[in-house]
Parts: sequence; C-alpha cells; structure tokens
Amino acid sequence: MESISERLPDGFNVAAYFLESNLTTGNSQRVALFYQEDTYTYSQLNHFVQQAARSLLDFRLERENRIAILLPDTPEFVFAFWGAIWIGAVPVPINTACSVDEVQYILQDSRAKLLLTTQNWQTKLDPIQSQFLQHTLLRDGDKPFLSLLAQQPNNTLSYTETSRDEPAFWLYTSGSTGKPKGVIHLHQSMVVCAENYAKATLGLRKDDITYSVAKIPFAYGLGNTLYMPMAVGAATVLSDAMNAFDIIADIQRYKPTVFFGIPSIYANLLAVQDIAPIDHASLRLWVSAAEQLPESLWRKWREVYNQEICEGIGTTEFLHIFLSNRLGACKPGTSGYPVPGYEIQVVDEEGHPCAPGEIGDLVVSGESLMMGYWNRLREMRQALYGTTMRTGDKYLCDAEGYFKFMGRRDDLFKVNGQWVSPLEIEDILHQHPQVLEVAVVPESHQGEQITQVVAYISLKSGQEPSSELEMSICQFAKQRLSHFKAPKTVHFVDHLPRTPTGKIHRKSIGMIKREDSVATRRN
Amino acid sequence: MSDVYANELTSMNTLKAILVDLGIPGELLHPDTLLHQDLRLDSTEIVEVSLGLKRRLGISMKLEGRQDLTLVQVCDQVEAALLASRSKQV
Repeated sequence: MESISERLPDGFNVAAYFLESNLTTGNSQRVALFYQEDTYTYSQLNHFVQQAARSLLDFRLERENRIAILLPDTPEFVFAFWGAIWIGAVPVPINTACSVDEVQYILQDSRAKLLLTTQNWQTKLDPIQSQFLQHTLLRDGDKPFLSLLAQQPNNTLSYTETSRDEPAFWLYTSGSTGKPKGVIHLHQSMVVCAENYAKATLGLRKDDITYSVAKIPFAYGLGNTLYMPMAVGAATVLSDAMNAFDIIADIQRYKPTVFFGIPSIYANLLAVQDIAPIDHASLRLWVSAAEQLPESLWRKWREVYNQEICEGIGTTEFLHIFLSNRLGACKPGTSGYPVPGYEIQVVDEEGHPCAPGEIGDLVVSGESLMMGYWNRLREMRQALYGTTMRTGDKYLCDAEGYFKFMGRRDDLFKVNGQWVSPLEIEDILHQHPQVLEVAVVPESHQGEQITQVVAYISLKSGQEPSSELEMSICQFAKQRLSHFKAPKTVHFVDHLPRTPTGKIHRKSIGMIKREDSVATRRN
Repeated sequence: MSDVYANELTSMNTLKAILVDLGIPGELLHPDTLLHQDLRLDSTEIVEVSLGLKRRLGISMKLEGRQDLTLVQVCDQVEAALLASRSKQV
C-alpha cells in the first residue's frame, strides 16, 4: 500500500500546505467559507489565518503550546485553528455541547495556555480552574477576536517549519470511565484522510459545497467542514443550525452539493417531510456516519428522495471514515467496505481472522491513526499495536466484503451520534427515591430503528410499577442529564441479572423474559 | 369567553400537553419559558413538538431553532397557522 505520509516532506506544516495549495492552483478567488451573510474566499481565508497567527503570537502562544477553542462553527474558529497550526501551536477544539464540568476538565487536562470562547461561556466557566490558562480571548464583547486580527500588519507571516510527524491538533473523545480523552493527531493526519476518503472514496471536487451536521470539534465534522473541502478547493457552510427545520432552511439557502449527516438527523428530516420538504436539487451526495444507520431508514430515504445515503464509519482515533459504502454500490444496514489506505479485519479473541459472517473484533490499520492518547498510557497500549487499533466494535464481514456493525465490546453506545456511558445515566437514576437498582442499555430492534436509551429498573420494597412512576423517573432523568441521554422507555423488573461477582450483567438484560417485566412504553 | 381567548388557551394547553408527554415536568411550563434556554429541548424534541402540533391541531409549523422561542411565542405562531388554515377552508 503506497504511503501518503512518506510522500510529504519531513518539514511540513499542514496549515500552510492546505492554504498555499489553493493559492497556487488558481483558487484564490473561490469561496472557501459561507457563514450567515458573509463569504470568505481562499485569499481572504489565508489573510485572516495569518492575522490570527500574529494575534496568538502577541499572547505569547509558542510552538507546541495548546490553545483551546470553545466556539460554535464560525469564521473565528477556522481562523484560530489554522492560525495556531501556522505557528506550530496546537489547537484543541471543544464541543460547545459539553457541560461546564467537562470543559473545566479539558482545559485542565490539555494544559491549554489560551482559550478562545464567547462571553456567555466565559461567564459559565467563571472561575476557570486550570492553573495553566494565561489568557481568555473572546469572539464577542468589547474586544472581539476579529478586531484583534484587524489591528495586525498586512505583510506575510512565515509559517513555522514543523514536522509531518509532530502533533498538529488534539480532539477530545468520550472515555469509558466518563472522562474525555485527548486524542493527539499529527500534521500528516488530515492529508491522509483527505486523500483516502474525500478524494479517493467520495470524489469530492472543486465545485462542491459541503454541509455538515456534525460540528468541527467532532472528528467527523472537522473533516467535513475544515480540511476536506480545502483539500480540493471546495466551499463549506459554517452552520449554526439547531434542528431539522434550520437544516432544511440552510439547504434552501446555501444549495450544498454534499451533505454529511447522522442517523438521527436523517430520521428527523424524514419525520417532518410533510411539514418542511427538502429542496434537494443541489445535492449529489448524502453521507451518514457517527453511528449505525438503520436499514429501514436508508430505504425510506431512497423511497422519498430517490437518492442513496453513503454510510460509513470512522473513529476519532483514525480521524475520519475508514469503512464506507459507495454511491451505486450501497448495501443498507452495513458500514460498507474499506476506504483505500486502510486494512480492516474482523478477528477472534486470539487475533485470528474470522470467517465471513462470523462476529469478531474490528481491527483497523492506517496512516491516519493518532499519535496516542494524552496521559492515558494504559488505555493507549491496550488499543494500539503499530499502526493497528482494536476499535472496541464488534463486526462481521459478509461474503461480499461488506462490514456490518454488531455491537460494542464495552458498555458504551451512541445516541444522536454521541458516545453515551450507561454508568452516567445509571448514577442519576439511582438517585430517584423509588429506584433500587438500574441498568441502562441501548435498544434499536436489531438495528432496525434509531438507537434509544432504555432503563431496566427494580423498585424499592413496597413500591409498585405504574405509568405515573415511569413518567416521574423519565422527568427526573431529563432534569439532570442532556435530554438525548434520558431513557425513552422504562421496564420495571423484579430483579436484574448479575454476574457471579455481583455486578449487573448488562449484556444479558435483553434476555429478560417479557413476563418478568412490567413494560410501559412512552410515545 | 371570546374565541380568541379560547383559542389561546387551547394552543397553550395543547403545547403543554405535548411537552409533558416528552417528559418535561408540568411545573416548569410557563408562558415565558424558553424552549432551548429553559427547557433544554434538543433537536429531536423540537421535531416531536412540531409533529405533536400537526397531529393534535392539524397545523404545519416549522419550529426553527436559531431564535429561542417562549411558549407564548409558539402559541402565537400556532394561532397564526390555525387562522391561515381556517381562511383557506373558507
């Protein structure tokens, strides 16, 4: 397999690579970013990135220092991200949907020296606990970040001669213990994904306009919005959409050609088709990732819009998608087959390849694999060997070479494209005054429906199951958790299955006999 | 009771019933309660509200999320949609 990273020079700065390649190939005046009423050409983008780089230097951000970016998808995010990399610093995007505690943890864990955020977030975080943070820059307020950029001189700023093998940026991903893990990626990583997936798999091209439901701090969103369009001179939409209706309005307004969605959004778009039909004339490609797309949803989409959804799967550790369906050769209910540049196998407990149709562990090799987790040596060594990683997913590969998701090795699962730990939800439900024991599991009816959170609960002595009690438990959860994590359904059971050591045996919960449970379904 | 007042009451009660069905405690629901800031409704729940209004009142409402809405503002939109659908019938 030809190495992409070895084709890159040893001295390599990925911000300069993407920006300069557009300026030298005649894309200067092409639109790079759409944001609300504004557009930015590649020439303007290059200018603002260098102005951002100068501003960050003014605040003594040095090579290898981290800068946390806690912003919605906005031009300031893009300028700061590339500006930091331009000077050899390391941006750490943070999802604005994180809780205050999670953001405090990431600021501390990453030891970020600068934070770029909003006034609203600054207020919520006050006081910031990290002793490493020296300055907070704001997108809004008296001294907005763009005004700092406008004060900078206009002459060219040379980029820092970094190495293709040194850290370029970090992304945080959910950990099985509940604390997010910092995933370190190199200057070469984005080029590998752009070549393998954007160009060789999707056929992304200069006249495309991409639109991503996933925001930039997610690995999927980072590729869809930030570097894959740049790799081919295409444009992207920086969207502030909050729900399916906003997305439909955005499609009408910006006329994107490639839509990067997630299963729950496809389900929502179909649910409101009578209320707000999509004007999809501009779209040539629909992509889904982040969690398994139910086959029924794929078929419904094709029936309504006469277009296929190209489903794929990737991980934050590999930065983007490594298994993908292809337009015209989609097999609904599967993640497709390997993207060029990746070797993917399903193996048994001993690491031997499984026969077709046999369920095993997914192991992936590829050049975009992270450098490692920050300060998580044990977890890193368990997951990695060479350029190979056990993703923690259970898969099978069918006789035609298509890979099908069959579950997880651990207890984590995805809802709305985001990792969920059942422990977090169980901890909350345990606080309900009538709950004795609880186990939370995902249910998708054999992959036929969007994954939902379901709680199996046994009650304290003297308590009786009822629909009122179920409502009370669901409300209790919603008041204390992000709503997508709150159980949609509660099954009351006499007792929960346990392992010989007394732990709740979550994997066998699905086998609880119906007559053992008092099930009440809401909505 | 005037028709206008009765309609407003119906809209508000319907909206509250939909939100309670979504698992939002009834005591949190006041006319000036904001859907995002106060109730933290996510994208799927907003769709559920819109579908609930269509199911119960027969109106098609695009509840766009960039501008946070209070319950009474949603009811105003419901009223306008109901009025529009009635005038179409006439």
